[in-house]
Amino acid sequence: MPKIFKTIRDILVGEKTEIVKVLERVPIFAGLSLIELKKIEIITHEREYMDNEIIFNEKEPGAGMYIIKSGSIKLSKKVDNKQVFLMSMTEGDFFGEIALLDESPRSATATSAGKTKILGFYRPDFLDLLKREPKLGSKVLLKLAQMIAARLRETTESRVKGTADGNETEP
Amino acid sequence: METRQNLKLWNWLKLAGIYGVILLALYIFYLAQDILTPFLVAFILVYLLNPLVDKIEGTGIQRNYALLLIFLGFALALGLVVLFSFGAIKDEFTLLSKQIPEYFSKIKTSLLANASALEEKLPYLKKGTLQVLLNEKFADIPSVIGPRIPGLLISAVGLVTNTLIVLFLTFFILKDGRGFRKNIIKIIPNKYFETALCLLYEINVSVGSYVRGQIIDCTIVAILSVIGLYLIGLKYAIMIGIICGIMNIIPYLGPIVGMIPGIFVALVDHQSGGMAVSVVAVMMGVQLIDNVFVSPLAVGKSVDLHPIAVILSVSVGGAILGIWGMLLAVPIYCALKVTFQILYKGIIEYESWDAA
Repeated sequence: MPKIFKTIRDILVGEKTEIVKVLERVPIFAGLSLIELKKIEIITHEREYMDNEIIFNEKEPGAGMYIIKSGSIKLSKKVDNKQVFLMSMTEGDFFGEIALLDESPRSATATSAGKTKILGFYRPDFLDLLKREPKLGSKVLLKLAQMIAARLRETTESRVKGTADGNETEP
Repeated sequence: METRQNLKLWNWLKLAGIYGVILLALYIFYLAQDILTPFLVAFILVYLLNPLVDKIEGTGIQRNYALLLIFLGFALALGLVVLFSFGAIKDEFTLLSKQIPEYFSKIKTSLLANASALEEKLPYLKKGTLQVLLNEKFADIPSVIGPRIPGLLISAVGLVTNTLIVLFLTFFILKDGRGFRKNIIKIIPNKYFETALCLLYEINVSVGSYVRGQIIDCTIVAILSVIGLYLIGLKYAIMIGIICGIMNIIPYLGPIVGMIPGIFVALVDHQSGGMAVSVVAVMMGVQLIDNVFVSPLAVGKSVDLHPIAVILSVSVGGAILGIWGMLLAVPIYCALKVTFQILYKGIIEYESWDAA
């Protein structure tokens, strides 16, 4: 792209902020333009967690999804009164996206491991976005639906094979 | 088992603590009521206009331009309304200002006549006491209003300033409101963040739909009242109809209070009981239409409030803050109700905030 266009774009749209750089790697925001990503950025909330701080508890009603900006988190689940470690996630990973759709209880507990910065993208803001900017909102919604469809297909297949162990990896 | 009991108690204490803070906030609000008036009016306008701004923004126009568009449209609409109805309203005003002294003398005569009749029936009242009292209270109009004219002028200037402040606030809250909210909730600790965010959203939805519904409802009631009163040929139909519409904001009590000016004009000006009865009939008809057709559509089930709760909160609001209290009672009640529901769910049912 000629330099002049880049300059014009930078003046009109501004440059990629750090948050935009994180957001564009998340599958549900894939394919969004810089302007659209900036609109998403406005409605995300940056939260900072100390080591071993609980982000959300199992069985609590979920309010939204989180994207890890820096640091890492652990997911665990209570089985027979003991916290069982499920998996850990690092920079660029995201979790809790089902809570964007409804207020269902979280299926695992998320805890920060080390000093962690995460971006919260919450259901009320998402619903508001769907109303305010239906085009952008439905793009995100479609990606979300596709992701969940893929996951459902996986679950169905593994169940048909008889290998489902009942463990959910998705909080 | 015992720790579990303690935990329960602790949760209830937390809930009570949060309610204490909310009550304190309301008390501060009560102390600062005079300064807050323009803010409140601005908030009502924001609630009214926000969906429109969102809708225009949804078509791809930037929020700032959307706002500009709305403010221009608003000015235009106001201009048209003034242009077309100014004559009629002005006529009513001039008529009213000319006839106020006449009304006073009419009331005075009828009261004096009644006073002598009353004195005859109550022998222990000294003859002439009531007449003297009435003559004192109903002194000449110029001598009553005269000294107040400077004050009236000052309040007119204040009204203009306040209107400008309100417009200013409305514009900027609509423009930057989302950013304000984001910055405010930034300071909420991680543990309470999700709950607080959902809470703010729910309060916003609940209060917003109530305010919007009521204002649409009031407008329709005003229009229906004006038409009805005009048809029965009441003087000052436009003014009285508009007053009825405004009074309708206060649930249940408003419409009854709204009848008073109409009945007053019917009795004093038309001097006919029949007219007063038709005024009451028209108002009741309007209320019937409102309650059966308009209100369910405008206010709807978005705000699910029991009539007893509404009347109680309106009375309490009126006792504490007067007319403003009556107006704010239901929205505040809505907000508190939503807050309680969400906090109860979070703290007591899910026991969310235990792990600390």
